[in-house]
Order: sequence, then C-alpha cells, then structure tokens
Amino acid sequence: MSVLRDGDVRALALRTAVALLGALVVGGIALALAGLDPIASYQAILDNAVGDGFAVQHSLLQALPLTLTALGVAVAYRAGLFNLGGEGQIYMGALGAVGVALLFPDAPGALLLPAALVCGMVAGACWGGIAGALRARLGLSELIVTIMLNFVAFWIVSYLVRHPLQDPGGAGYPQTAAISEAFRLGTIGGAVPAGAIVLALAVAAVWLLLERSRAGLELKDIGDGESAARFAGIRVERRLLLAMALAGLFGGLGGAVELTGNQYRLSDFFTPGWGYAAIAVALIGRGTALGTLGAGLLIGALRSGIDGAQGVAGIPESVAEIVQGTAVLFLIVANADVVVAAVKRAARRRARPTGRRTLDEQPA
Amino acid sequence: MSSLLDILGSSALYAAAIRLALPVFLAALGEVYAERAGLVNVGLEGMMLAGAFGGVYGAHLTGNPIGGAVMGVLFALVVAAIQSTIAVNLGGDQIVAGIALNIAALGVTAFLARTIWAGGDVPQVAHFDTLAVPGLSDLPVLGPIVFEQNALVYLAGLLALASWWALTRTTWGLRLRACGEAPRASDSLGIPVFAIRWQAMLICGALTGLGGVFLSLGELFTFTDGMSGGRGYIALAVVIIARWKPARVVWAALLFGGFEALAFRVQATGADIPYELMLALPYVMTLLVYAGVVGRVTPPAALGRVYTRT
Amino acid sequence: MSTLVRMHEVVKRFDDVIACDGVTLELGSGEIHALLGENGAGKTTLMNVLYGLTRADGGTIEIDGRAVELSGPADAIALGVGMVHQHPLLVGPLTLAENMRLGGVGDGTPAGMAAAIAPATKLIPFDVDGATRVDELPLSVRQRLEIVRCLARGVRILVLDEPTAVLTPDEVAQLFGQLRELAGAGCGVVLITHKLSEVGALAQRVTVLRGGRKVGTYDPAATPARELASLMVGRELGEERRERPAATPGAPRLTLRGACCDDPHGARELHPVDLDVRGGEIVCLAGVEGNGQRPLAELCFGLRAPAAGEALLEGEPIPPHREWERRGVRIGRVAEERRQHGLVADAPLWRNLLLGPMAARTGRLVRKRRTVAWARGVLEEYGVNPPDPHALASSLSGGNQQKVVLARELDNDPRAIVAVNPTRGLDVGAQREVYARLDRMRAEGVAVLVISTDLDEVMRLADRVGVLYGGRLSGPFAREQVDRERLALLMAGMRDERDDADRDASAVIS
Repeated sequence: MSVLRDGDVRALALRTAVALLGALVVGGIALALAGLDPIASYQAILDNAVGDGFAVQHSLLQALPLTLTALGVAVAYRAGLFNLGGEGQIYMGALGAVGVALLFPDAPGALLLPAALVCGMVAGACWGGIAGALRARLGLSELIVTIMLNFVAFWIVSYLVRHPLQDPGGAGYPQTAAISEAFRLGTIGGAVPAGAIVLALAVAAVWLLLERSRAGLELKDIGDGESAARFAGIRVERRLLLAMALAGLFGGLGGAVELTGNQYRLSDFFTPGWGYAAIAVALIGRGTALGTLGAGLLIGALRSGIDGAQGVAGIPESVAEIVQGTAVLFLIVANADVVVAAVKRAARRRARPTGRRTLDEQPA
Repeated sequence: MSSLLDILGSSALYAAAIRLALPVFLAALGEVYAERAGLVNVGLEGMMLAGAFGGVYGAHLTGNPIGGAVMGVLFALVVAAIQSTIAVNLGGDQIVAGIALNIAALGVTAFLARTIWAGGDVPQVAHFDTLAVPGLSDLPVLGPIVFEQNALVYLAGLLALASWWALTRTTWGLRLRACGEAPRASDSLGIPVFAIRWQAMLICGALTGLGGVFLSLGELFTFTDGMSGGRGYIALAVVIIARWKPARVVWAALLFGGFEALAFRVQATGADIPYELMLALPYVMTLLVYAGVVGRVTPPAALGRVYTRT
Repeated sequence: MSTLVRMHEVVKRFDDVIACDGVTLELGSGEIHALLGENGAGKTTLMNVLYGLTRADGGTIEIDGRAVELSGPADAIALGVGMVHQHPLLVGPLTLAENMRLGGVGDGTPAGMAAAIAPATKLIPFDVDGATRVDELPLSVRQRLEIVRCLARGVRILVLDEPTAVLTPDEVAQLFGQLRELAGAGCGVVLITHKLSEVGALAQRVTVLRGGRKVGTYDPAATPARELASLMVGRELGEERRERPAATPGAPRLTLRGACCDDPHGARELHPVDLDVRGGEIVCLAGVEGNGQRPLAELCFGLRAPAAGEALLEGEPIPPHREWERRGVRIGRVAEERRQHGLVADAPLWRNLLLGPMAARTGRLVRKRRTVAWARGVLEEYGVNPPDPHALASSLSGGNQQKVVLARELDNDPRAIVAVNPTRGLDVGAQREVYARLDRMRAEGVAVLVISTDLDEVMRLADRVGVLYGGRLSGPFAREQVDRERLALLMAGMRDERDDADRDASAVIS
C-alpha cells in the first residue's frame, strides 16, 4: 500500500507537487493539440477559478461535495479498501436530506437542517455499510460491490424522481421539488457557503480519527499489514465495516451538503462525476485529511475554472479528467517499488560512497 | 402494453441479451488472461473506451468498420501497455493504476472526440451490420437469437473457444497459469514471467478494446463520452463468478446482459413495471451471484502481488 | 576429476551491501562441495549467480572450461545447472506432471511424466502419482520431485540450498546416499549448509564464506569441526558456555493437558499433549517442520481452542486472543513469520509497538508525543538500531526487527512467553542477543516455551527438551538426560521405552 511514509512530509509533498505539475503540463500539451494556447488557457482557468469573489464562491461550491466524498474515499483507502462508491453514496445522502425536507416542509429549519444533514450521513453510511458488511462477512471485493451499488443507487433515485417524488409543478423533469428556504444552507457573511464549515469540521474529524484515535491507528495498521494486524488481535472485520460505513457517511454528507447548499433539489443528473473525481482527489491527497483537503480545493477550483472558461475560451471540460488521471498515474510511478528502490539507491550512494555492510544488516 | 410473459417469450429479448452481454463478455474474457497470469487489471473501462473511440475514429478515417476495429484495438493496446509497464516492470500499485487509467481515458477520449470533430457531436460512421449465417439462421428458436447477430458476436464466440484451448491445452497456457500461481517458482525454471505477463495484459487489452469497438460500431454507430458505462467494472465481477474459466464467462456475462435486455424491453414496450428499477436488476443479480460464489472459489495465488527479481 | 564449474572473483552488490566480495569457487565432476557459512554470509547469493537468478556485478563464470554469460535461469538450465531451493519452488495448485512439464520434463500427463523420469528414478526412487496436486504433498516429497526433475533434464551441476531443513535425520541419510550416487555418476554437487555435521558426512571439499568473502577452501577430513566453526564465525568459538544459573522453576504457568487439534478435514494434527512450563525455566520443543508445531503454537497464542483437552495459563483456560486485553492475559507471543505476523511492515515502529500487549497503553484517544517518547525509550532499552520511533519496520534489518517484536512482547511483564523459531534468519550476533533476552526472562521467573526446528538452538536454550513428531510430543526430558543423538532419533519417530520412563519426574503435574 503506497500511503504516507511516516514523518517525511516534506519529501511527500514535493513528490505530489511534482506529479501535479507534470499532470498540468500534460493538460497543456492536450490544449495545444486542440489548437489552444496552453498559457492563455490556464490563465483563463485561473481567472474563472479564483479571479473574483464570485469565482471563488463557485470553486468552493464545486469543491465541497468533491472533498467531502474524497474524505470518505481516503478513510477507506488507509484501511486498504477501495471505495469507488462515491457516486452512489452522494445520491443516497442527497436522497436522505431531501426526504427529510419533503416530509416535513413546514418544520423550523434550525431544527431540521441539521436533521437533513444527519439523515444524509446515515443514508450514505448505510450504503457504504452494505459494501463493508459484504466485505467483512463474505469477503466480497468492495471495489466491485461499491461500483454495482452506484448503479443501483442511480436507478433508485431515477425511479423516485420520475414517479413518487417528482415535482408536481416541475413540467415533467426528472427531479424533486425544490426544498424550502428554511432548509437551505445559506452563506456566512453573504459570501462564503455555510457548507465550508461542514467541510472544516469533517476534515478535523477525519484528522482526529486517523492521527489520534485508536480506531484510526488500527485502520492504518490493517491497511499497512493486514495479517500482522490480525495476529496482533485487531478485529479486522469490524474495522473494515467501520471504515466502509465512515466512507459512505462522508459521501452521504457530500450529497446532503450539495443538496441543501447548492442544488436544492434532487434530480437524476445530480452529480457530474464527483464520486469518481473524489477517488483521484483522495489519492493525490495521499489519503490524509489535510492532503485530501488541499487536493480537493485544488481540483475543485480546476473543475470550476474549466467550467467557467468553457464558454469563454472553448476549453473542453475533459481536460479536468486528463489532469486528474495523469496526476495519479505520475504518483503511482513515483511510488512504484522499482522507482523507489532506485531513488533510495542513489541517495545512499551519495551519503555513503564507500560503505559496506554485511548481508544481515540489510533491511530484511 | 405487453405483459412480462410476452416479453420473456420473445426471441428479440434473447438476441438482445447476447448483444448487451458482448462488451462485458469480451472484457471479462480478456481479464481472465490477465488475472490467471497474476495481474489485476482494473483499467478495463479505460481500455473499452479507448476501443470504442478508436473504432469510431478508424471507421471515420477508413470508411470501413474493419479499419475501425483495428484502430480500436490499437488504442486499447496503448492503455494496456501503460498498465503493463506500471504493473510488471515498475512494480507500482496495479489497482490504483487501473483506476487512474480509467479516469485518464475518460478524459482523453472525450477530449479527442471534441477536438477531432470540432464543436459538433461525433457523426455516425460505417458500422457492423447484422450478418445472418446462411442456413443456421433458419433454425427454429436458436436461429434468430444466435445466428442473426453481427460479425463481432461470431468472432467473440470463436475467441471464447480459442481461449479455452489456449489456456488449458497449450504449454504457453500452462506457463501463464504458473506465472499467476507461483511467479518465483516459474522464474526459477527459466519461464519468462515478465514477458508472459505482458502478453496476457496485451491480450486483455485487445479483447476489451474489441468489446469497446462493438459498443460503438456494433450498437450505437457513434461515440459518446463515457459510453462504456461501468461495464469494465462489471467484467471484474463476471470473471470471479466465472471462476476464471472462459466457458463460464459466457454464462456469467449473459446473466448480466439478460437482465439488462429485460429492462430495456420493458421500457420499450411500455409494460406496467418501473423500468428504472428493472435497470437496477442486472447489478443486483450480479451482486447476488457474486456473493453466492465467493468463498468457494480460489483465485490465482499470486494475483495482484508484485513480482520483482532482485 | 575435471573441473565442471569455476566461479572467479564473483562480486554481487545489493545497493551498498556487498553480498559477494570477489569469491572464487571450483567444482569438479564427481565432487560434493560444501558451501559453509552462517546466515547472511552470501552462500545463497553466490549460487543464485551461478543459476542465473541474479546478475553478478563482477567476476566470471566458466562451465566446462568455457566462459558463460547467464541472463537468466533458462541459460543456466541449458548449460546443465540445476538448483533445489530451501523451500521447494513448485506451483502448488498444479499437478506433479504439470510441474514437471514446466521444468521441461514430460508432456504434462502422468503417463508422459513417468516415461520421462524413468531413467532418473533409477538413481532416486520416485513413485508418486503424476496427477496429484503438488500442494497436497509433504515437503520432503516435493524436494525429491525437484531433484528428480533436475536429473531428468540431464543436470550435471546440482546445487542444493539447505536441503535438510525439511527432513528427518533418516531422510537426511537417504538423501546423502543419493547424492553420493549422483556424484559417483559424474555430477558435481554443491551443498549449501550452515551445519557442520553435514559437511563432515558428505563433502570432499568445503569452502567457508564469511561476510561475503571466501575464507578458504578446506578438506573436511583434515579439518576439525571446531576449526571450521570458528572460521565460519570469525572468532574463537568454544562450545558457547552457558553462564547461567541452574533453573529454579516455580509453579507451572503454561499447561497443556490432553490438548489436541484437528485440521479442517477432521484429521488429527496434534495428538493429546501433556506439557507443563513452569516459571523460571525454558522448555524447548524440537522437531522437523510440519510435525505439529503450528497447531501447538496456535493453542498457546490463543488463536484456536483445543478440539479436546485444555490449554491453561496459571490454571485458567487460555481465552481467544481477542479477549486477552480485556481479561488481562499476558503471554508474550513471538511468531515464526516476522513479516506476516510479527510486524506491520509499512508502519512506523511506534505504531508497531502499540500492537498486541501494548495496545492497552492508549485509550480511545492517542497522546502522540507521549507515546512516541515512550516508544523511543523502549527501542533504546532493547538495543534496536536505529532507535527511531518513526522509522518504518520494513527499513530495519532482521535482527533489529526481532528486537522490536521482543520489546513489544516482553516488556509488559508477561507470565509466559511462547516463541517459534525466534532466531530464524538472524546472524550469530543477533541470535546471541535474543538468547540473552530469553535467559533474562527465565531469570525473572517467566515461563518460556520455545518451539524450534534448529537443534543447536534447542541445545543452547533448554532446561527441558521435548520432541514433536507426527503430531505427538515425546518428553519433555531434563536437558541432562538427552543428547543430540537421542533427539535426532526422536525427531525421526523412533521412540523407545526409555522415553516414557524418563519424562522428567519432577515435572509431574500435582
């Protein structure tokens, strides 16, 4: 498992930055091949991402569901699990939130907005928990199960927004009615989306879990060496279930925040692939809380910037996927056994030009 | 408004099942090679998309579906080569690499589609038409279902047979299986583990790419972003359900294709069943069968483990 | 005797470690040549170079007088080199015949295999059904399979890497006979070993390696074992005096009473065992791998319950391991596989120290700074080098890794310690440190049970010795009552009346 090597944060951040830079270069090449000026394009993307207050707000709104879901992917990843079910968990979370809003439309928002978010988290946790349970009890690959559940979630929502939950006054579109004002996550000071607070709390919670809680250490031990962890008495199955449930919880929270903070209604085109992008974000963020936050903000801004620049400068939005995908590929290569060994060899040769050790002092 | 029974009795349903199962089938068949050689290839989506796009591009250039098929396979092989380099030569994280390749391929194919056909949608191109097998297509029941498909379906059938033979009856197949069970032992016998794993991955890419070609040139006659729709991931489950045997891949893929075809027929004929929920059924059924099978199957022993020679 | 192989000034480096430093070795046809050295001396590496598994960084290899370039095992095999590895390298789920085919012998069918190996079986009898799956065969049969396969391929240079580790003394004698026949037929045999007894019994010449360098080539008939031993180790080595006080054992702490185990098919893997390990003594159980060590260890590790009988710690049944923390059960567990069970390889040492017995040090929340400081202290106390709590476990040498395991298992005042092959893969220096640690525990009144396949280790550590064979325990006997010969007989399954009478009278369960 190529996760964070303990303590050496600087080298890690450097490697990640290089990978990202390389990916941006590849994106630039793609842009050039499309007949666009890469520098001008990136300039346009930057402007549309963080150029003014409105752009920043838009970037933040893109980053919120993305990063929240990525936190879920990250927690699972540290335990050695592949949570590809972000899409489904987002849908379920949004469904949970919109369910509360539609069931109690006249209730006081201060009470039920948190309830909606919690409901979204619970729904997501259950969805992730299914995959976790199947993995823990039956040994089913969570990678496969979560992907399947994505489709199931999509079709369930698809059905619901076309039939029972369809907006009666909505001209037949496959979407629910908009939730009432009371339920909406407003802004702080008129500018910053309130979802940012939720994100900050979520990041803090994940950090606390992974770095300072015994459960989190156990998760990491499972991810770093499952058989030794099992031998040492860690209840692996229980922890795996917990990890997947948490993964789903954050994905659900992402969906709920998006619903109550941005879209205000559930439709079957609710997510533009945040669930899958979240995987890249978590991997670029190396599975850590802060890293995921950074990567999420970055990728969110990138996507938002491209979104805005699309109309203006004709930049195809697929560039975002190209950058994400190649960034992860570069990271994989940088962490590949052969490459790491070669780098270590070169470093050691520099430090110890004539060193000799016997074979037993060799790392086992 | 037909009833469910009407649908179940129509041969069009089963013919559709074969067509819908085909991309999954080819991807899964390719994955059987890769996994039995010890490699986990999650990048099937990417290979399928590459094949789908390459197919359309090739058909566009040559005006001929066969040219498209060749181009599609080539595009998919590029993805397979990257996956091989990372998994076999560099000892990198195979699963993450597969996921990353899927994301990248999604972007690259969409990008190329936008760039080559600047601005507009990808037009319809020369495609594979239905090819009725003379004589056999007149058989009752089986005729219209099996023998009135397009050329790629027949090709796929032959490939299944060839794969069974290659894996179980040839020395190359024996060596490939040895690489997947015990790479160190194989290496010590002078078996070229790296080379065989590369071959397996390239075959996987070619077959999956062909599946993608079928999606674009055999079904839709054009390319749309992300048209593989998760079939590459489904194929992973199919491989396990099929216990890594080419013959069983046929049935496992048909399981999925069958339920999908059912859902589409329900939608098309306006039957009184919510078709959206029917469309969830293929995934649920695959999950159930997967759950039933797991624990009773043994994957190749060295599956997913990096092998490097010091 | 013509020279078959000449390895001249072979150099092999891994990173900055020099595994082989200009080693020269000659092998003649009809010769059995022993390659002697301790763990880490470079013996296996040197032979891996000959077999093409590793590329040399310097030096030349001549086979039959001609210089050769080996790019892989295929080249070596083509030149008539065959290697039988320490743990037979075969493909488990495939059949015997298919494994033969992979090695270029036969066509993959049992009939074809039988025909192809017929000439070879005149030298080495081999009569197993070709349709059997390899992973259903015992280790000694698998080893013979490898040898027969080499022969059937027409190998003239046969290298065996520590072949006797998986054999009973009887099977060893059989193997040696077969090797002599092979040599008689003109093959050259290289025997990699760290056991002096084998050198004397078999080899015409012995080359001693130490720290990657060749110390010299000697005639075993003319060189006393003690001299070879000190050449191997590099210092004057008397029979290591155990300067430790006689055992004064207290009450029994770890007890097995009629404990037995069945395998998943219902066959008995461990027949009813009666064993008492008292505080302040070390009981060692000797035996060849695969004779019941694993189930017995699992009983003591809390990984399984006995199918019948009891496993007790101070009179109370040993609960499943996951309840140990809650119930305050303190048994130090040193498992055989360090990488699989001992340490989480990619985790830093401070987290590794928190596994198992030490987990109770933290509550739900972890005070990181305090924990790391504690970890550093523990690492320093146990002599781990470097004592860096943030270092990853995988970056440590084998000896240091084992020290971390010991630190973790021994430091919280266990009532008993159960260790399986605790010095596997360690060099003599690290070995001695482990033994010193175990002696210290013994002096502090802890009950120590060591299960080991290494007879030297058993002789060094034990106050009482038992032998496992075929899932049955013979003994334990007082150390003074047994010698290597008797142990060897027991390991081969030869019991006699003395064994039951000699069961240490003072160990009667009261």
